[in-house]
Amino acid sequence: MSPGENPLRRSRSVEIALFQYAAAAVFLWLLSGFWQLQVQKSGIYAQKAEQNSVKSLPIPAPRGEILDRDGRPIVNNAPSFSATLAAGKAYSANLPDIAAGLDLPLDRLQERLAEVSPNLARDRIVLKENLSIADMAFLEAHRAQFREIDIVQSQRRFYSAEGVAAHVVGYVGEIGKAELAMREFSLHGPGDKIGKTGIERQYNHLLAGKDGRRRLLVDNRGRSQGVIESIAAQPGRSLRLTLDLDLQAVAEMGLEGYRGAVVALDPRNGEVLAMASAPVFSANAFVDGIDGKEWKRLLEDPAKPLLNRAVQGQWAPGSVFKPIVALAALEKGLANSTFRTTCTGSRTYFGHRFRCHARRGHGSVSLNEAMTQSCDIYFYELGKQLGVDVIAEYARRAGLGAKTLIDLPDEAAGIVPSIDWKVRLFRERWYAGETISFVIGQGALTVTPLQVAQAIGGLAMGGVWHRPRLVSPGQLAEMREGHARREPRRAPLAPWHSRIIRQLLWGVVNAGGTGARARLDAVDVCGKTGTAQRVSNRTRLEHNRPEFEDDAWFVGYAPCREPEIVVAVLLENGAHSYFAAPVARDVIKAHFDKKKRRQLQLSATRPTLARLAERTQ
Amino acid sequence: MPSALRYDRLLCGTILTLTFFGLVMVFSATTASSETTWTYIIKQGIAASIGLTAMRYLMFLDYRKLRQEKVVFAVLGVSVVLLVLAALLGTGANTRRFLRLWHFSLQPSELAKPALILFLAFYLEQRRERLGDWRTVAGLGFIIAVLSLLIYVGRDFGTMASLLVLAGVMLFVAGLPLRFIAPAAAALVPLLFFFVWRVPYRLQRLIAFRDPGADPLGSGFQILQSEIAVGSGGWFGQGWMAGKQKMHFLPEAHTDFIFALIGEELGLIGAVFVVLAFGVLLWRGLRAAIKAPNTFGCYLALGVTAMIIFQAMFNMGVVLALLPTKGMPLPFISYGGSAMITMLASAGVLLNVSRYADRHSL
Repeated sequence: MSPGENPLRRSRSVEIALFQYAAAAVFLWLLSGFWQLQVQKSGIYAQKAEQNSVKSLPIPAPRGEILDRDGRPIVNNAPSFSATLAAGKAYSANLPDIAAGLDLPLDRLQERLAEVSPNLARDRIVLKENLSIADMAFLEAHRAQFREIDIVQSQRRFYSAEGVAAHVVGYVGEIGKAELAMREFSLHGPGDKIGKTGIERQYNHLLAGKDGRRRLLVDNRGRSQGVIESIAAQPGRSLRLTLDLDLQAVAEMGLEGYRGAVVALDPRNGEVLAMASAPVFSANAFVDGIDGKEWKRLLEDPAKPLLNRAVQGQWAPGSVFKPIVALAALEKGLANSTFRTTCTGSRTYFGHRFRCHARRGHGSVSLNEAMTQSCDIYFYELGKQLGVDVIAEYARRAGLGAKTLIDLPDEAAGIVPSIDWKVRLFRERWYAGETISFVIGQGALTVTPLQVAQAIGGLAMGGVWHRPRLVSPGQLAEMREGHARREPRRAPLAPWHSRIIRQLLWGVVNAGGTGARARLDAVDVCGKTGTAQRVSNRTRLEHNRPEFEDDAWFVGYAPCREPEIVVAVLLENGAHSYFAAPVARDVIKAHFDKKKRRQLQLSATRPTLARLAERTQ
Repeated sequence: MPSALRYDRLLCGTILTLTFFGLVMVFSATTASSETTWTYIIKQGIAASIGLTAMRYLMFLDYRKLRQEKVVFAVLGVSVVLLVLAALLGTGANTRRFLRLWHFSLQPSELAKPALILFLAFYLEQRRERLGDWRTVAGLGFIIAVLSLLIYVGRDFGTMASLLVLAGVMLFVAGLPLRFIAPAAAALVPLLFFFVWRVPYRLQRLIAFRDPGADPLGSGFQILQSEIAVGSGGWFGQGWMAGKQKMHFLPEAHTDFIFALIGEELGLIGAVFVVLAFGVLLWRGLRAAIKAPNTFGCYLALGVTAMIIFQAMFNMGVVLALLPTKGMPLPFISYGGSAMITMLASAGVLLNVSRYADRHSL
């Protein structure tokens, strides 16, 4: 045998044979094992497989809180219990009992099961949320009977009962069919709660956490035999709004008894300090699933409580538009110190008589008197000479006619008319007379209260218009949600024009103008009133119906020189700006009072809403 | 002319069948659940392609090229380095047996087995005349101990067992005197005791089929569920893709417990088919070893066969609840790239040796 030659080829090795037989024996042993398990005892195991079941229970993630700028909660959560049913289980026999026990209408329960159960992507259906103690006792007592029902603890959204900041915050509700298809909600499944409107919707992706899951092994009586797997819920992230609850409360109280809106912005950075809309609603009704009747009532209410008038309502601005026209006239060299006109109460343009709000006329007026007294005739003259397109250009520069891109859903853009606009939309030419109404903020021109606040705030800043925001870009960057910080729109005013506008608007409030009711001792307030007609004066007087009353506007800012706050107030059918100015004044006052208090360090205890209410009354 | 030689068609066919069958079952294990994911089957497909390429390359190489000191020690060295790296910076659930590499994780312990086979074949042939010499035994013992310890550090007891068994088989068949083997085996007994007899019910289950209901949610859970899966398969199974246990109950249905899935979905027929396939591998593998033209080829074929057969038997034993669960993939079938590639590459070497089986002269 040469070295390296395989010794096994010559003679069969005992060792390899041993190995071979041992391995073959093991294989036979294994085969006998399979025989036993799969043939002899197959029945036992088939039965065991049948009984083997896993119950999967969700651990709902709490939504993030919504806080005001000082960290005070506007919306938070409260623990509650929900009755859930495993999906895909035929359960109709027990339904009447369950409906009776949980005090639910049977038809609604059936409807709900029919709606959700074909969708197996979700393994549990919520039958009733926010269970009462009686409900829990009922379920506990009938546990053996209703095995598929489980009680799950969840975090229920808890809104202010009085509707504080209701329109800004919005509300959550169960995801709808249309929403399931939206990319925005692609992480959600049927039965999930999502933000429907307001901040809840805008920042749903941050506020919503990720549900966890517990998987239990259960025996054939539905009893837990132990936890197989537990995935913790990831809570949603809390958001701090730029809103100041103190100012918000004042704004909301100012609107009491009216339909209307208040918007307070910091013109230096676009932060929204207060945003109120009236009438309000309480969002708590939506959380547990609002019933059809209540929903219908809210939708059909002529006062439109669900509308956020601050960003979704569009109205003619009336005379609060005049500062923009004044700027246009100044920059076009029209409204110089020698330009005067005589107001006799009315004047005829293009064969049509246009009135001033002062029946007897203002006499000979310069720009200064025209602004303080809000003389229409003077502005008709400016409008006639400037033309519609120049005014429209300035209106758009101030941000009218386009969404402000505030971080709220469903914002309205308003309309700034122009010759082109009319041809495009109506295939009609622009009548010269329309310019005359346009210049005093009537006609086709519509704006939202937010746009007014932004526009006048930007003017007050000397031509810098910041994008309004409810969540600061800084906070979003911290949360790694960094939208590139949007640069403000800039169209700098000449310093002397800035000064003239400031003097004009100071005069409106402080020099015997129409806005005298907005005056404050502590701080200089600038502003402009506005009264916008809904119908012609004649119709209004003839019918004397409340919905034909004029809309009242006031927009003001303070301090006049380096503004920190700009407030726009709209009172729908408020009859006269006389009523709107004090609302703005109170918000401005609250702002400076708070600032002063902070400076004096007297704010050892934070003012409660009640104390604040006392002071402002 | 080596290229004119005929490789063992039956052996090759069995390996290819098992590999393809494995892909089909991994597909069933990983894509039929509620959260469908294609990642597993794609990764496994890639691994099988790489493995088959390696197999083809090693099949038609002149295997005597492997009989060089530099090749043997290079392979061994690479294995040791990778094992050390894995032990130092490895990842894995409570273990340190994986090395992350981009999207893939390497399991160096898989490479250690063929490396040891290659080394033993080479070394045992070299020292054929001096097997009784204590220096020979010391060299063998040193290499085996280093590899085992490194694998032990990675908490990969299954692979360690398989390494020791294949070494034992090779040394035994090579004719290492029993006075050396016996003490080594005796030293391993306490270790075995530690793994098996330490838990009383395992011992009972090893002797007879008993109801493992003692601890249904703890360590008994996998075994119980595996038994239920296999048992509910019956004669013909639930049908491919129709197994229910993999959804919630059977953990690792695509890796260590894939045989339970086979039993559940394809029944006794499927299980016997797989057992028979490994039986064919045993038969043809040993035939190649016996008929190899030289000692080196013989030991290579023997080592590879022993590795495949031992892993298959151990894996099935676990699934049948006859052996404790000690992560051992089913060769050619379980999910796992490193194992798939090294198994197919080793099979390539085995097929290579099989080409000389029907020649009667050198």
